This record gives sequence, structure tokens and C-alpha cells, in this order.
Amino acid sequence: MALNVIDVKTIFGSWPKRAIDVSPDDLLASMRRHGISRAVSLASAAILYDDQPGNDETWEACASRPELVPAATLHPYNYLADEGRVPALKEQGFRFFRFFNKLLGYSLDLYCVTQILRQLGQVGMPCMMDATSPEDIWRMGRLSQANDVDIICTELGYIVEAEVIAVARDYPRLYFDAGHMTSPDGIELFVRHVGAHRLVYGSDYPFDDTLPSLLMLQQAAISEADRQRIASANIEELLGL
Amino acid sequence: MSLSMEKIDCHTHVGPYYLVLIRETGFADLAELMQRANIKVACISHTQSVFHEMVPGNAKLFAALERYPQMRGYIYVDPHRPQASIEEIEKYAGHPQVVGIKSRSVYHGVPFDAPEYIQILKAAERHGLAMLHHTDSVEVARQMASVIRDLDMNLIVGHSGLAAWRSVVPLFADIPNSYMDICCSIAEAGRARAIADIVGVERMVLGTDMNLINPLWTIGMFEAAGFSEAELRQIYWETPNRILKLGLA
Repeated sequence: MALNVIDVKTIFGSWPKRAIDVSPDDLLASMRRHGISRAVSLASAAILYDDQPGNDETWEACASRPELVPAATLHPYNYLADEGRVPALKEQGFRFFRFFNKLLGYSLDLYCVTQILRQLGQVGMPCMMDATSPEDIWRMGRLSQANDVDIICTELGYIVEAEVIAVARDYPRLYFDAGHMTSPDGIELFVRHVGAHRLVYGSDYPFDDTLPSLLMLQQAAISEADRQRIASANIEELLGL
Repeated sequence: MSLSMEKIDCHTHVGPYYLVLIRETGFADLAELMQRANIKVACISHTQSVFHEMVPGNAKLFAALERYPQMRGYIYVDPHRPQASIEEIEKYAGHPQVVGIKSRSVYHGVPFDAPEYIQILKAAERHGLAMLHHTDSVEVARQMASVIRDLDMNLIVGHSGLAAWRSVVPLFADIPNSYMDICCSIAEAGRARAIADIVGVERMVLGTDMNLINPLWTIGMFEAAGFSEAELRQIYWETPNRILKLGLA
């Protein structure tokens, strides 16, 4: 049976720090080439320029393309909790939120980050955060627990796998992006010690090639049921797709 | 997709790592990983040599190789011990499965163009050995470029500069005995093709950094780059076979 893959980590738009200029249709074409049925995505304008019009651009692009699931973002430096922007995003129909703490260089220890997380927990919207240091993994575990919110931890590498497994076992609302578990048996070890129910697949298109992460998932020595969970079932459940 | 194409992997390791969670680190585990990615020949350095002690690590590697005909060995060299490194080269240069020397100048804190390295390189050159060198910065690449162009030795630029590849690779553009191995934990889109555009496909080789990194990760970078089947055959087999003097069909 063909693997149904949902990619939780993509963007579209232009990126001034790289020669990247990807339209939503370019993203769709790449998904088709790689056999990816749906992708969670957002406009680069929301990350780099102005979050509200950028979120609107995301919404419009995804509204006419059912394969794309819109993700929203807000910059914590430009956030006032009492403006109610997180509930408004939920009201608009967004199902997922992304922090870009690595790209934008802010700390997860900011109180505004906690305020956003608290509101995400209140409206039941999962989110994704970047692990910029090994300490960030446990930090995300504590944040998920304290704010009653599901967090997907991304930007992992082979160096932190022991920490990932240890935190995952104790913090059930923390999920992990399997797309960058690059050690030869990284996915297998996680599945054995924690379970496939806590992994999702993200390619980081268009920054990264999709094929390396996809090949690792396709070839991992796990059951087909576990592979399908990681490829799509977990994110479908998390986002209510 | 050319996953079924047979491959020679110029950059692999065997042995335990204290700094990462990898449980399957033995020679048999490496053999199993090779099969998964259709790697017919793997060129290895031992982690004991790479991280701690050159002599016992080299000894373990070359003793085990005799049981694994699909594997080849790099003699690890330590610039703080140039004489001992030269003795290691003399000891193993005649081994039927040796392909070259390997080192990491940054780890040792010795510049690649320092006299200690030059002595070692000259010894390897006398024996017709290639070299795989960990290349993670512009500074290291400049040192390598200044030395290697005058040697009759094939140099594999391990990692091609990692995140600094845009500045590192052009330093080797006009050095015909340098070859690019792109393994890296970042799968930056378009990197493999861009490097080939700078040095030429004929100076690209497959190095995966297994058992540290899943070999499919780097193979995926090549497969995504839009190389023709003939170009992939060159990268996966013909160029490594030639520059490491493997003599395979």
C-alpha cells in the first residue's frame, strides 16, 4: 500500500537570505513529485515581514488549494496578549501555529512566548518550535505541560537523540519531527523507546531537499503501521484533518 | 531514482561514539547499513583513532578489514605525533585494503599547512595514498588549498565546508586533485548541484558519514540534484574507484 505522507514543515514565498522564490503552486508541484498528499504551510511574508497580512496571504493561498493546510505565525516581539490575536486566528480557521525562534533569533524563555502558548492551549491549537540547543528540548516539554498545548519539536539532529527520547517519555504533549533524525537508526530507536505515535514528518521544503528525509522514513526498519502513523496519521489526529 | 545503483562510499566510520546515541556501531552493523543503501565498498576510519588514540584504532580497523572484503581503510594520522603517524603509514601502506590517510586538523588544533602535517602528507604521497580531511571552515580550506596543489595526492574535501560550502568550494575549483564529499547534517536544497557546477561532476564523490549519519540522507541529496544516470555513476562509482585506486570493474 502506498504511503500517505503529510508534510508538516513547508513554507512558500520568497526568501532574501537564499535564492528561494517558491509559489504555492511550486510547492504543490514539489509535493506531487515526491508523492506527498498534503502539506502544512505558510507564506514567508508572515515570517519575515508583517505577520497579519502574511497570515492572510497564507489563508488565501490555502483556501484555493485543498492540499495545503494553513499555519499561522506571530512574532513575540510584536505581540500583546490582550489583543486576542491567537483566538482570532483560531476563529479564522487556522489549525496550526509555527514559532520561528531559530530563524528570527528569539528565545523560548520570553514571557511573550509563554503568553502565546497559553492562548494556543486555551484554543486547542498545536504548534511547532525549533530546538536551537539541546536544552530547548526539555524546555519545550515543560512549556507544553505548563500551557496544556501540543508542541512539535523540530530542527533536531543526531547529537540530541538521547535527550529527545528522555524528554519524550516524560512529556506526552511533546511531538518530534522525524524528518531530521539523521542517525542511521534514529527513527527506529525512538519508536522502540517511545512509540511511533509521537513522531510526525517534516521536510523543511524549500530550504532543504525533500528526498533525504523522505527516504529515511520510507526505508526505516519499522512496521508499516508505524510508518503510516509517522507519515500522516499522527498529524491528521493532531490537527483534526 | 538510482537507489539500486552500486556505490562506493568514501567517508564512513566504525566504532562507538560517546557523544551521540548510536547503538549499532560494529563492523557487522556497518555491513548491514551498506546493504540497505546498496553500498558495495565502504572506506572507513575507526572512531577510536578519530577521537582518542590513533595507534590502537588503526590496529583494530586493519585487523578487522581482513574479515570484511567489502570494506577499505584509512590510516588515521595525528599531527601531534608526526613520527608515529609516519610509522602508521609505513605499517599499513602495503595492506591490501588500505586506501589513504584521514585526519581532522581542527580537532587537533594543528593547522593543515603546519610542518607536522607536511611531513605526514609527504609520507602518504610516497606511498601513493589519497587523503580524506575533515573540512568545516574557510580557514581550514585555505590551509588545505595552499598545500595540496603541490602534492601528487588525491584529496577528498570531507563535508565540503559544511555550512560554509559557498566560500570553501571555490577555493578548490582550480585544484584538480581535490574532490568534494558533501555529507552534512543539513540537506540544503540545491547544494549538491551547485557544488558540481563549481568543480565539475567529475570531482564529486559519495561520502555518507555513516555510521554517524544515515547513508540515505546524503544519497537523497544526490538523487534530488537532477544528475543524469551517467553522472550519478561517476559520483557513486567511477571517480571513487579511480582516485582511491580500488581497481574495481
